[in-house]
Amino acid sequence: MKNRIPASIISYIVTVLLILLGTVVLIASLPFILGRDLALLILRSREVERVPDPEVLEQIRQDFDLPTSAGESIIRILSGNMGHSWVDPSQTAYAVAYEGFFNSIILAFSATALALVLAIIIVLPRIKVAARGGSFKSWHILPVAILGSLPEFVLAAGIVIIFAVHLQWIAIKGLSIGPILALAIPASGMLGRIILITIDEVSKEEWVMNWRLNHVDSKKVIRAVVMQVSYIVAPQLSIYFAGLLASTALVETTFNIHGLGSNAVKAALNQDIPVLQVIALTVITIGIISALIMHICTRGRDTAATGLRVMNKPYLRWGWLIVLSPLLFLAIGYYQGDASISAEDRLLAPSLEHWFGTDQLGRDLFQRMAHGTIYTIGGSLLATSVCVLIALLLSVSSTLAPFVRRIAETFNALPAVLIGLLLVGTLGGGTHVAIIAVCVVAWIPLVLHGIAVADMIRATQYYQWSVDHKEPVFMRTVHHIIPAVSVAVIRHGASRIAHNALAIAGLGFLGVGASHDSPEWGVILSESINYAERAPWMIIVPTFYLIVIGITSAFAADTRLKN
Amino acid sequence: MKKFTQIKKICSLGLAALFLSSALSACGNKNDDAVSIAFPFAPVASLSPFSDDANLLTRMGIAETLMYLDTDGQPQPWLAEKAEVVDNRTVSFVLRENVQFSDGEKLTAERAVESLRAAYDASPRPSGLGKNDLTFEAADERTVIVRSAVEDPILVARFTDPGTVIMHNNTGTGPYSVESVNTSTASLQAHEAYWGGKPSMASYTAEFITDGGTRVNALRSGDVDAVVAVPVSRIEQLSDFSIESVDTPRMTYAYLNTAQGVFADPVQRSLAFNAVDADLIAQTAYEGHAASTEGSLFNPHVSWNIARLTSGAITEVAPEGTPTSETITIGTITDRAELGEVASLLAQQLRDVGFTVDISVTDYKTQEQRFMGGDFDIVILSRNYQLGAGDPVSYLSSDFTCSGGFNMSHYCNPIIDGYISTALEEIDSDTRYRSASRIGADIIADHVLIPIALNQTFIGYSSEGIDNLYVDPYERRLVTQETK
Repeated sequence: MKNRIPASIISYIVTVLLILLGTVVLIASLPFILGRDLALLILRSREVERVPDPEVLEQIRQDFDLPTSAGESIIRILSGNMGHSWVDPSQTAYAVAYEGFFNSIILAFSATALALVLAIIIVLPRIKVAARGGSFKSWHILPVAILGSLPEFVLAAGIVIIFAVHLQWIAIKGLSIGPILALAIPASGMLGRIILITIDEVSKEEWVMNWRLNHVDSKKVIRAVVMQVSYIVAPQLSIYFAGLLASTALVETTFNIHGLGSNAVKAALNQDIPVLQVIALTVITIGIISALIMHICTRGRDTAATGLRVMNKPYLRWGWLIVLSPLLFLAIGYYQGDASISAEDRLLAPSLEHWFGTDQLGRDLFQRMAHGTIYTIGGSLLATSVCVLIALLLSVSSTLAPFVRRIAETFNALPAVLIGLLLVGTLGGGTHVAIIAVCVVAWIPLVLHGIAVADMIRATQYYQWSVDHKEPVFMRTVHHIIPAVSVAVIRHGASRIAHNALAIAGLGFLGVGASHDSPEWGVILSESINYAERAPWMIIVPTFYLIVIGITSAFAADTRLKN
Repeated sequence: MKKFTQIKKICSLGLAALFLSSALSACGNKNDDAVSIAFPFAPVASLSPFSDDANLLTRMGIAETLMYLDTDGQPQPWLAEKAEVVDNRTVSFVLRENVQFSDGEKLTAERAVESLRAAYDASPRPSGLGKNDLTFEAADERTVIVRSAVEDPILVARFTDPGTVIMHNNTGTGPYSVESVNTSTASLQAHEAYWGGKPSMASYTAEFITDGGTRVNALRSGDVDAVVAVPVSRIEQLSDFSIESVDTPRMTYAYLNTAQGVFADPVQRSLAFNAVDADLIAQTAYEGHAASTEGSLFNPHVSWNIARLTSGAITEVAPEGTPTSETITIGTITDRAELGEVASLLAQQLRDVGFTVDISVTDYKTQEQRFMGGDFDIVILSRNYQLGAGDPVSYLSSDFTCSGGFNMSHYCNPIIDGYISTALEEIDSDTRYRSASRIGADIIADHVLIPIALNQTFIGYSSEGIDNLYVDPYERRLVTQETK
């Protein structure tokens, strides 16, 4: 026992250092991998319209002291010198990267807190049932599904229009309750899902049954259940915080907040490598620390209980069909043909002729949505399947598990936006790039879940029995681990289809995903932002359909208590 | 086990409390009474004049150049009282009397020369100063003599480039001085001893809001009193506010790649050229908030742009033939919201006559190298033809000659090159500008590019909040001592 702890700490430190080193090397060589002309990028970030004469670029190359090869770039960083921003050499990389850093911290912190409160409120019905007895209803999951499938940039735009422009309750610019809400609401949906599953676990605990049978005041039971659920979920908040910190970029843009997220996007676009280094190392460190906090707080606890354990039967009833019906309705649009551009039909409100109205180029929105279904849902299904496969491959081996877990937790804090931008630089735009970008982060929760389930199986008596009887590792894995892990991971994956569709849509909003005129819903949404007030149908329709997918996949993966 | 539970509880409660308390601490607060103006760019180089921040320096009323461009693009005295052309290589500027920098120091020829030398030696040098060797000399207390190594017809106009603002110890001579600045906001104080009279405001705030929608919303919510560069799709939302607009020397063009691919063939070029209804695109994508180009490379309404017909040097190709079956690729950028819509509409018009079209839209920094490399058959961009010294012939030289640095059409025509190099020598400003107009017509006749729309700039403001903004077609000036 005594020897094991230092060994695991050493291996932990080694993994962390390797991850940090890998990041440093990757980022330092980035512009060279991408084949970008640093001098031109610096000229463009300083002077947008200047003619890039060769002599001007040469002068920049010399005077801005730019590295000429990936090797040089790596050596410079490893010698410990982050140096100055390339775009603005009068400032250190730290100064540029950390400008508004605390805005992002406060934003992510407050949003996490608010998300927890909101999440508990929306799952209260199920807590009540857990405390009072009775059966879990499928509608309990509705608010979680709806909130979880609202795109944050749509929320942000809505909050600005209603609360800042019309009601003038909040400032349009900078940190206020507005951006916090925009981040917290979708997060509360995600958190709510975890809490729901935790409730299911807690309500199976003996004391709940005992209190209930002994007619303890139901309010008291509810309070106790809420407390118990909070204890279990709270440590995960640190992971949530790191994740939110990484995804503030879109909201920061809408509210014109200068923070880590917007700095990251700017540095990535400008290929301001020293600044990018500082930001990437910062978020990764935060990711590592938050994972550590979680581990310390959950030490000695069965991690599987806090993971998403989705082992029960899902609801597959008529309700599902009703939820799906708006999607089926879109099929009509598919047979109406392609939506064509028509300059005189711009921004028409919904009517008998155009059921969902028209967009800024006079295209019929109903037809566009119908054609976009394939890209959005298909893309999400593809991304989810790939992630499920990755998770399966990485979670079954007990030797790999600790490393995979650490890498997963570290990457959790890397901004998906940043990854998207990097991939666009290397691979160009397109739906496939968006799918890859989503996969880079979406495998994390699945693999963590898979590892937890595999650990749980290894702890069972029947698995121990097979170990004692010297069944080969391969056979043990095939017989016991893979079946259990695949069921759990596939179900968990199903519940994330909507979330991944949302992520693809979010990347489309940044111009990363599908091509320009594609009917992909994210593209439609991103175009709608400029016309949100003049043509609200452009923003409402795709948002509604994202919610439909959210509800559908939530129903597909809901757990319920077996009586 | 019990101990563990306690640790867990403390840990968990502590975390939860930490998160909750922070949620309460974040509350927004509104601005005070000082006038505030939203600018579309944030400083990129800590307000160094040797970057685009130079434009902010002049627009915010912090610093001034020796000359400025009037509406016709002609240099007029600003910090200089007059500019005297001594010979084709020499200009003598006489500085205004009694000008002080905002730190209280006096403007002398010596200090002006120091500032100009810093600009000349900057890396890179402000584009308006050109590539030739210049020397600067303080002849007396108020006279600055600039000598060029070669004949330079636009030597005076070079000193309208905002990169040549006269600065001393990081302060300028303008009506306002910077009290504090970061990339999101700046606060400015009146420069009491300003040579043009005491500024009307004691102070004002500049907000840097890069997102067009957020900028407009800031005006609507009362957070700012004026916004610069209102996106056309948002103009309708400002019906309760005043809007000033002016034609800029900026046009949206569709550049055809004349060097490689489909449009190396003049027949295909002319087919595409004739398929495009530029005015319809302008009307739709700019919602009527852009003027027609009337088929001209330059603003058709400026006095020097006289040429509508070609000089006959370029024989127009009759569109005989059929559109190629190859897929045409259009590249444009997300940085200006309208360009994506322009691309969609243009693609539609090309498809209508039988072309197959693909569109690629990404941010400018990612696209530019591809534009330069000739990766696209058509590049759609909005381009200012009077940058730096404001000389349209320099623009022709950089954008349409074989060795041009920003030749988006990859155009190389010895006849046009010859015309341009002759025009570059032209001393008389009027003749020079007119020959630019004629060469422009020739380039259009060769179907090198399709002018789509003449861009306008829109400034939205609340008439109770602010008055007397200087609406400059070159987007170099905005706040003056009279702004209040």
